[in-house]
Amino acid sequence: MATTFDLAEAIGLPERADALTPLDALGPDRLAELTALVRAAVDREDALVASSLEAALNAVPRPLRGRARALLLEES
Amino acid sequence: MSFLASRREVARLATLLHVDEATLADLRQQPADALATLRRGLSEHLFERHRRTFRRVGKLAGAVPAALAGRIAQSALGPEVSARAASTMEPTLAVKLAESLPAAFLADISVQLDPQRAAAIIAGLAESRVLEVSALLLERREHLAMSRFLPVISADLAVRVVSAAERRVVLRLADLAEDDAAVERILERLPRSGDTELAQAVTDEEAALDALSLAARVSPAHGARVLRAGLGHPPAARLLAEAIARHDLAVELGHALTELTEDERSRLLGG
Repeated sequence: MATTFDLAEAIGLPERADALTPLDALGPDRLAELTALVRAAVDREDALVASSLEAALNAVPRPLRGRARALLLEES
Repeated sequence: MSFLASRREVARLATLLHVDEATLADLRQQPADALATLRRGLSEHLFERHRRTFRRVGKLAGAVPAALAGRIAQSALGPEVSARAASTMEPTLAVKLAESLPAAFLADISVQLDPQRAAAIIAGLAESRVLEVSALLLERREHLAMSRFLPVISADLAVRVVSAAERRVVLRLADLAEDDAAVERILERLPRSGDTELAQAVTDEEAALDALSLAARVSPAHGARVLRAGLGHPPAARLLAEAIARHDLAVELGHALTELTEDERSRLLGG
């Protein structure tokens, strides 16, 4: 069971939930499926970025790795 | 409600969600604006969550020799993160890096690239490079990726890209491309002598819907040109008429239909 607010929240736009309200016509079950697909896409992206960063650091030649690590993982 | 625009949004959303378009077939009945909000919102969300990281990766690429940056992109970052990092980079540097990458990997990156964010980079690439990558995208049937490039390259180059494609693929590209004006510019440059071949590419309902989408999104005169091409090829005319009736598309096609003669209109709308 989900609403268009859940869907808006999954894309980081709870304040834009109004723009998604026409999708209420899909019904709560279908909205739950769609929200799950959106969350899966977000999780997939998070995992991809994390693994790519680690791989990138390992691909940098050792003498440059400290500098690369500082550049990639620095706190802003 | 625009069925044709919703259908287009569903194709884009399916790619973003990494699902088959058929999984979202029921969304074609939903308003295109809401689907576009969802799709654009998700695309932005995916990018914004890691924007700082992508920017750092871009800085790293600029801080090491180009050959090393290219190797890291290919062997470690992969096309998705490389594409997002590229769009945060200074365009001159990104173009320099892109020129040093093999065309096959550039094609991988192109599938993941948001062309609006990377417009300056794409504009900086040599035409021969764009054509080379486009040929690979065509070969791989990455039609959505190709369609996203059409609005950000010159109209003449876009015509050269499109001319290399099968006519069925041209219909698909015309449907998927984001920008109506860009589609119009390409269509007006395509020779009318090729219209019959476009009509012959309408061999099923999906092709008919792509052709009708093209007719609906360009100027009335060009829309009528597309519809007339279909009318000139009876099997296509039948499929177009069936699709218009099944999906109630007369209103969406209104502008193009008004350019037709009464006889032509009745062949598409019945009665």
